[in-house]
Amino acid sequence: MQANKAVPVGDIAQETAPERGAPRIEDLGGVWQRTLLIEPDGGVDQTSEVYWLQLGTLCGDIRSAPDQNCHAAFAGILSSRDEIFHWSPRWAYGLEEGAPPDEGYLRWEGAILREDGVHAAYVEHWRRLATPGDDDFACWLTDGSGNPKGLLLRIGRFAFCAHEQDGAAEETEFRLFTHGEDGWGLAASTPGHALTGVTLTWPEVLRICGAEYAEAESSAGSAGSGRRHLKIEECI
Amino acid sequence: MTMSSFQTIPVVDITHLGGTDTQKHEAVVDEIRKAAENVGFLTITGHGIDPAIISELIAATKAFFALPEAEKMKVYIGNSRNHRGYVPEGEEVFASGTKDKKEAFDVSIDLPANDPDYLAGNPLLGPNQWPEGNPDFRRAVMTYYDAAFALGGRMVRGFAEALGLAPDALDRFFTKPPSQLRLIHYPYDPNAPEDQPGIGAHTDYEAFTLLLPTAPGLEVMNGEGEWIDASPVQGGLVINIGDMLEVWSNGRFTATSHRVRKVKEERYSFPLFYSCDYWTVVEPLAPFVTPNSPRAYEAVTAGEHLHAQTVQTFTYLKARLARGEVTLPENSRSLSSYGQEAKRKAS
Repeated sequence: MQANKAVPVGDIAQETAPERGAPRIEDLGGVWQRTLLIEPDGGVDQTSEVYWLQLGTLCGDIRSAPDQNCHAAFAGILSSRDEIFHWSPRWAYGLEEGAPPDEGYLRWEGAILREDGVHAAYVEHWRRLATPGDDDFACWLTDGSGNPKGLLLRIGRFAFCAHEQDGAAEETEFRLFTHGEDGWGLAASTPGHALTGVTLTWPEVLRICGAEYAEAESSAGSAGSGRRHLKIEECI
Repeated sequence: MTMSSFQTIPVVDITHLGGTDTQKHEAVVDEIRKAAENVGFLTITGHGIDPAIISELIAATKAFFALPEAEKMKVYIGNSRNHRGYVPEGEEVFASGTKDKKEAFDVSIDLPANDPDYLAGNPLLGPNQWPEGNPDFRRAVMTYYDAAFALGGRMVRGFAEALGLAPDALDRFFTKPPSQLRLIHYPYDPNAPEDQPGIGAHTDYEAFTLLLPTAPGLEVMNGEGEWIDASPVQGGLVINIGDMLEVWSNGRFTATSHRVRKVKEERYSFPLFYSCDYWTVVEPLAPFVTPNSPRAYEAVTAGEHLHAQTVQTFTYLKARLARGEVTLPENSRSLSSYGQEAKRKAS
């Protein structure tokens, strides 16, 4: 591990072609940064760092303060019916107990994706930072018996993982990584991980995410087989 | 007829292709040229593959897919280092994340285990996987593979001549190609909505594809974006231009976008994706780059392009990518890089 030279996530914005109307789930693949939240009471939040990664139906969302400690995160599945999009967290941290379903109307406003709450009168604006490329993926992390224990997404210069600690869903850890000039760096995390300021290789990212990893990039077919590593499966 | 207006897939009798009757041979080449330039698809008859070989392939395929899942999974494609074997339902995923309902068995050029490319870790070259104790399956499949591969060699020469090149001008690109034959089984799907796309619009990544269809469902996009039915012709094989021929010809031949309509009925399909050699650097050939027709394509390494596109579809390869076991070359192109859709997107 070396000194981190990861590019700040806010500097990776890409131009997005203007779109119109309501999107389909397959149109939402990418990394989204929230640029505005208007809460039901009229309060405005433009400072929280909120990133949403979407590939296929799998999604991850991580919300943090400027100190990089996340105060809320979830990972799960995005579905839609009619015009309503429904986020189903399979793993969550810091979300309000007993809150109504996380459902919103999505529509394009030029290059901005606007979300209007269904069960609460909030408005969010999302800016797309990256779109999925050839070598991007979203995978389930499993215990080897097919039981989901987390999610791993990599889209462009962003990677997100949620993984259970010791097999307990309530002990799930969430992390967001960004790739800079020299490698991966931790951009946000559930509390308790002093990994900022270091540069990571991809196998190190996987190890932090509790996932199996290739021992060496040159040894094709020889995945790390530590017994406690979660298996990477069902990738899209 | 122009690319923008075709409404049917031309049928070309290739009996005299490569034959001694020069006039008839040239007439076939001319028909191939018109089809390749204007449609990108043709149905060939008079191809010479014995119907008995086709019947045995279909029978052996049905028998294989009727085996218990556990038996088929013994030759799971994820066990192979070079992408051969059984593809269960759900192994292939689309960009939307939805899983494909079909199952398949993938074979290719059957190289020995001491082949140097295989030993070097080539992701597409090496031995096939075969179910143990089932020599009839192997024999039926490889008999068809060899016959279709030889027919492909004839078509390479036909395409070369159709481009105004010497008959053997393209032969050097096809010495040890990872040309994949897929045995595909679409199970009966009562929930399949009629007239919905199953396999979405795409072009094929190889030089061309030689398809043995057994049921309707294939649709081809013309230059105006209309979907044209390409139902099978009795005894005919369907050929479509792939990305590599489009590049070599600098766009004179087009890798035509096509899709497979979702149908309820159980059916089988047998495409042979006729690829050029893995390390072939495919770029527009000199005769097709002129002041009036400037070079329209970057060079691409055929096998890397093919592998990169394959990784995007197969769950087990995505997992290898995620684990860091494989990486994609920097210049791998994204899906739909070729064909009318790409041109429409670019315009």
